[in-house]
Amino acid sequence: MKKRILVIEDNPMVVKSLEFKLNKDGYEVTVAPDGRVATEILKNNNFDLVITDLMLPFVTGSQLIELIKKETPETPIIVLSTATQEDIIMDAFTMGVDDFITKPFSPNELSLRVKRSLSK
Amino acid sequence: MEQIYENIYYNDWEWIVKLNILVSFVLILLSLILILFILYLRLFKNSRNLKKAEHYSRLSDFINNYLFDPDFDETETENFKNNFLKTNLQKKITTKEILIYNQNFKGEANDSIKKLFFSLDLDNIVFKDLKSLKWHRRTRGLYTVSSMGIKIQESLAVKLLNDKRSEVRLQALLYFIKLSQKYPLNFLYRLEEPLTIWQQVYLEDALKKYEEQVPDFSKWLTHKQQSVVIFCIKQIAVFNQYENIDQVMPFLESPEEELKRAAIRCMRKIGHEEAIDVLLTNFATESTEIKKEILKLITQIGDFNQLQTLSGLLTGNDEEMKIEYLKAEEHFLK
Repeated sequence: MKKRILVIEDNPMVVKSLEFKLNKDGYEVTVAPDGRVATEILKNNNFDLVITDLMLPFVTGSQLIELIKKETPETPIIVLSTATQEDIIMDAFTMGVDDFITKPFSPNELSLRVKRSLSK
Repeated sequence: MEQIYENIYYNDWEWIVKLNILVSFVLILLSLILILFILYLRLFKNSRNLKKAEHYSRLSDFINNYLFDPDFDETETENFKNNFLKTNLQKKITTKEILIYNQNFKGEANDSIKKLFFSLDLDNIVFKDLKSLKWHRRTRGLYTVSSMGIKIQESLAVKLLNDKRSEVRLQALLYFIKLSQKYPLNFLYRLEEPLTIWQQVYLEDALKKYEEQVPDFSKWLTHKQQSVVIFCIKQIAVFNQYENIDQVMPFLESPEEELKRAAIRCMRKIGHEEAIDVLLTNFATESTEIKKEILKLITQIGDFNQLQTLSGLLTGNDEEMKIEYLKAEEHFLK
């Protein structure tokens, strides 16, 4: 059975590329363009991995991470963000994210990190 | 008499009716033309949006296949170029989208996207933009070459650096900073136009992101453009180039107020106390603005004795300076 990944990202180009790449890698990908849609999807679905941006419309990435960690703490989370400040990265890890990738990013590297997070 | 009046009235009335009919007709015609024009614009815009959406979708699939599909065939690039890069709109959208991919991806994907840009001959379009008579196309062209890291002819770059439009000049400055690997500010030697405040802000920001060693700003302290000299004095302070203080010192006695102000602020930021003695010598003849700058300088890096040499300000007529002096005094007596 295919592993399910939720991608929460508001940049259409990044979304399309991630969806394409992760589908090619053999995953089932669901996309949420903002935090509110992501919250709705998370209420009714379980995912093997969540990839999220931090700066999202309506509900922020940090709020989503808190929600996921409260509801399904075992779900690994990868943050994909333009933020490079050390305090933001540290905060994300403190909240329990598994990995932090900064944009611009290498899709091949992301693919490997997804694989690693799913195999834990 | 009455008959005459009636005739006149009747004739006038007839004339007015004719005019009324004519004006109404013209207005109706104009309204119809306007309605048709609005409808045409709407239809044109809808059709353009439809074409845009269609091209975006096709382009996105093509680029993702190109980047991530191991079975991607190189002939598909040629097919795409021949079939879907015919109109200016298609070329414009494709260039814009490739720039977005270029900004978001690094590593192998970024190299591939740059290769795709050339394979689709988009560089030719950019070169046409750079030589266009329209300033926004020249700006767009420069932005594209800077983002994609494409080097253009030196003579063309210098021409754009001294373009009559400040927007074009700004993009040209950023192009030089981004693409000059060792000497990011050497373009200043060839700059003939003044640097606007906005351009200075952009340049400073670009320099802060510059990964190599920041240049020695003292090289341009003799530039013929005063704005360049001011910019360099500011940068000496921003990047703490203590070794250049001696070259900034003469500006403390410059007859140009802007230069003098920049030099005082530079001394304040760097903390060069010797500047205070130089400035106190001519304090009485300085303008109010410069006097305020000197008081700020003393407050931040000087001592109470230096301030007291200016106590004459308290007995003068300038109320503004009295307040400034008292503020400075309060700082030392706290």
